[in-house]
Amino acid sequence: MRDPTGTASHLRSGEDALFTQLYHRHYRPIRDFCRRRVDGDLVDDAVAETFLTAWRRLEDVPAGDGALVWLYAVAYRVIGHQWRSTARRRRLEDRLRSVVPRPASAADDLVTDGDESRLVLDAAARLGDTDAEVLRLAAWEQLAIADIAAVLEIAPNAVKQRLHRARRNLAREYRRLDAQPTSTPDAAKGGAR
Amino acid sequence: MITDDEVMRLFERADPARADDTAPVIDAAGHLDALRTRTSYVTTTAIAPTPAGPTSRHRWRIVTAAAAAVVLIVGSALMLAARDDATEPGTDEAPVAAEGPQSPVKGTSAPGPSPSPTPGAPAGRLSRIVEGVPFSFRVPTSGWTPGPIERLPDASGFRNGSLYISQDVVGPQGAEAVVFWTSFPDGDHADPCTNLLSPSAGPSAADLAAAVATAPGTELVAGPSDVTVGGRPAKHVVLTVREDIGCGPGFFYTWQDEMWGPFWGGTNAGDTIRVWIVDVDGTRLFIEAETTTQAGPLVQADLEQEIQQIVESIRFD
Repeated sequence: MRDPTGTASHLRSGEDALFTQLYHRHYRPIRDFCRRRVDGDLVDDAVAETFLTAWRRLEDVPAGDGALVWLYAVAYRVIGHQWRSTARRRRLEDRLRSVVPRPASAADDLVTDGDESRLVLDAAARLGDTDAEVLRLAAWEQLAIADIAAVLEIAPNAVKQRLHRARRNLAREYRRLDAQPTSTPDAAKGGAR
Repeated sequence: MITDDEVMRLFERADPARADDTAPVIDAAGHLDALRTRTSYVTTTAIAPTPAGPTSRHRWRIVTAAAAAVVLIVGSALMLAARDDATEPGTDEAPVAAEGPQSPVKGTSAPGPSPSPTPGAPAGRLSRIVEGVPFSFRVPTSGWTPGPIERLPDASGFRNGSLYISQDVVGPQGAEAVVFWTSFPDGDHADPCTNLLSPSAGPSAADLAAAVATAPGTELVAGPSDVTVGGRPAKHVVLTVREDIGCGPGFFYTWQDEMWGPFWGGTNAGDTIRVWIVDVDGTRLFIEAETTTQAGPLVQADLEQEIQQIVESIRFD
């Protein structure tokens, strides 16, 4: 993780110090979380909103490892729920990436291993929203079941069910797409279970 | 053919954040300054603090492996004990073999990082009113959990609370057995497994049973046969799932993915589906029970016995 330094002189109070510590420790994973789900400048907006919430609710932020999960939960709502109900809804909905297939970009080329990665992202786009999010939290954020449940505010048992089902359905959709002469990136989202 | 695990590894490697982040890092002071001068459009929600726990896959695997080791040791001890002490016929707890990391004894949850199953209702009689049909039944053991809200295939939206009971005994899935009851208020079709039941099925219980007996992806084990449920004539069909055609547990029922969804990963080949159809004053009450092979054969057989007891205990009030 990069270490954003340059603490200004006015960061003196206990709250400021606590926030600075929180920010230093979790900026990168929160930024990565947002990069996985939204595009472009919306990443900065989502990160800012997440830490704004943390700043305003510092007393609610758990200590230790729980802080990152708490921040993930905030970021998840910032991206997935809160913004949808604001005046920015249309803009965001148009630009929410949410792992749906999208035109190739330079960044994509850095992470993809040829067609396989694009194919697996296409397959993930065919899952239900929550199932896909469970997969992302498990595979990309590397969260445990209890932490995924905390982020999504669903029961751990429900996470287990969804993760099991999502893994299987992801593989099924992958094989289905792989068997086709060409992939169908515009396939309806949620069209398969 | 590529395996599920290999696809999951591909998905992990497709992480968009693996690409270098070229954006300049804003330092904490600058960020705080910016925060102090802006207005949020976020309505904060109550987010409960979560207990600190293992957050990495690596640690999860270590804990899981440790749990599996404990299970194997305990399972071996119990199996040895079972050899010495023959189980008496008719006891509630049948001896079962340990399968991998699953719990070896019915009624105990798998140890390790997995949370304990949600406590279910104690053994006893429960009442339901489904599509205007009042009835009650007896659950023979504790742990049968009443279902939450689900949606049926009509347009009336969500129905509350009484559409199923499920039992979670072993393994990582949320349940290994489920019993549903409903009629088909929107016709003889089910979603997402639409067309499993022919839309042209006739109006009688026998017609519906015949349609069930020919459901795609299944193999007919028994029936349709004439039985009684709650003292009324009924049709009974037993199926096993021959191939996975993408249906959730419940098979003939509508699941809304955004709600709680199925109890285990999906209807798998080998899962058993039992259907009872009873005409109650003109309403076809459809009772479906499904058990999964993920329970292990002995636990699955035990659960099916409990399901049979539940259905035999039905009384129409």
